[in-house]
Amino acid sequence: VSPDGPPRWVPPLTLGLALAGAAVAGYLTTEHFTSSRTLVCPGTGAVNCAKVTTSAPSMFLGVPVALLGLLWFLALVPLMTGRLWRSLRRGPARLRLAATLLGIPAVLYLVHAELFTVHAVCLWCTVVHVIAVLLFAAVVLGEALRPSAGPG
Amino acid sequence: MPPAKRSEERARKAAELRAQQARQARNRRLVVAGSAVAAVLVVLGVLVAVGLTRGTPTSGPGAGTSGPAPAAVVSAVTTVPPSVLAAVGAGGTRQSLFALDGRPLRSGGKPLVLYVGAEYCPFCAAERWPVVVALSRFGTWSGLGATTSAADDVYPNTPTFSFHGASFASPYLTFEGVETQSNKRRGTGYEPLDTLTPEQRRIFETYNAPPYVPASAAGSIPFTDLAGRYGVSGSGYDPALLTGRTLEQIAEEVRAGTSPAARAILGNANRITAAVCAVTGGRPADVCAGAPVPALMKDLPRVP
Repeated sequence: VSPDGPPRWVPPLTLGLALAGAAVAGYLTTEHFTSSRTLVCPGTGAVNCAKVTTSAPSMFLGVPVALLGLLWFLALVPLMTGRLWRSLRRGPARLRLAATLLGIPAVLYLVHAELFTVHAVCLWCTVVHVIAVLLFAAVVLGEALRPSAGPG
Repeated sequence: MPPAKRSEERARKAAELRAQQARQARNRRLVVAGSAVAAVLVVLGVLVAVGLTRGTPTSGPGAGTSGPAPAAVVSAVTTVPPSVLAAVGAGGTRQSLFALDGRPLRSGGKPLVLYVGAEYCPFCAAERWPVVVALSRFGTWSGLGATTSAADDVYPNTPTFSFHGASFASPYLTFEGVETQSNKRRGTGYEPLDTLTPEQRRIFETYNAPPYVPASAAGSIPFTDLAGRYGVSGSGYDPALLTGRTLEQIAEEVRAGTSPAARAILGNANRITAAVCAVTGGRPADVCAGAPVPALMKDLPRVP
């Protein structure tokens, strides 16, 4: 554990997860707008990214959720840098915790939509969901492991 | 104990107490954090488990039922006048065939055309139209089904034929059509239909993969192998062209050859016809020598 911050592994791990999430969400955003041009179906009906990324639940208030996911990950990137992790101010820590917590209901809603509404699973979406949950876990544990109290 | 030592002892004990309190606070935070993460994982796990295991075989919402294709529809698309096909030419379509370098596929002593798709798949729905039109010039279809793509996929309810249960008789080539799944929902997938034979699976897995198709399209459907010399991955045109029409309307348009959908279907049919002529050695001559086939044969891809 560094003197003022979380364990040393937390900032690079969370930053890496945020960047990876942004990359995959970026791909899905592209896929959302161009999937109709890839004129193939996946070999199985259960795994179907085009179906998921063009379904009704793929939009939220007229905005593609893939794009919202991309913006969310991009907003998280600066919060996951070592500098802000080591900051003793409570603002960044609270914001980081709130932002990653916000991802959890979004993940639950989207997984529910895939399995119960769209009836198809998009593997890339699943990667994003896993990253969002890992990010939440890493941030929560990172804050808990700080020598001083977290954002509390 | 001298006062200095006593004070030192007090400071040491106070530091120990602070450290102990810090450890306890950290442990409490860890328990809270761990519980939060565990709660999320449990909720997610239950959601996924219920979603994947609830065996609810149901029809897709409004999915078209599959049945025999109406005779008038089959007749319309299998007797497209050569003059219409010639007038359409490539129909403005891109070359969707790619060259294969595998051993020649034959069955019953004739070149084999293998089609792998599924009824739920909208791109398969689009691709069957040109396949039916093209092969009708080399033989006779029987038992063609009529169906639609899934109601809950992209390009929902695209009208089309089904090769499930269909057969094709020709002195020039053999056709095997495999529809792996229906358009009826079963859980998160669709009801199974046909099963690939080991040889069909080998062909599908070998030639529907890099370097023949991009990695992103590997294993996708529809996939057509024309005698081991040419392959088609996906549909040669956008299924959106068929949106809002019935099977009968599309068949009528195909016979007339004037609408954008008909031009896309017939253009792709002409390209497939050219590839089939290449593998049958130009037989039958009246088909393979008639416009626009010779010109499109020159446009066929070659193995680099």
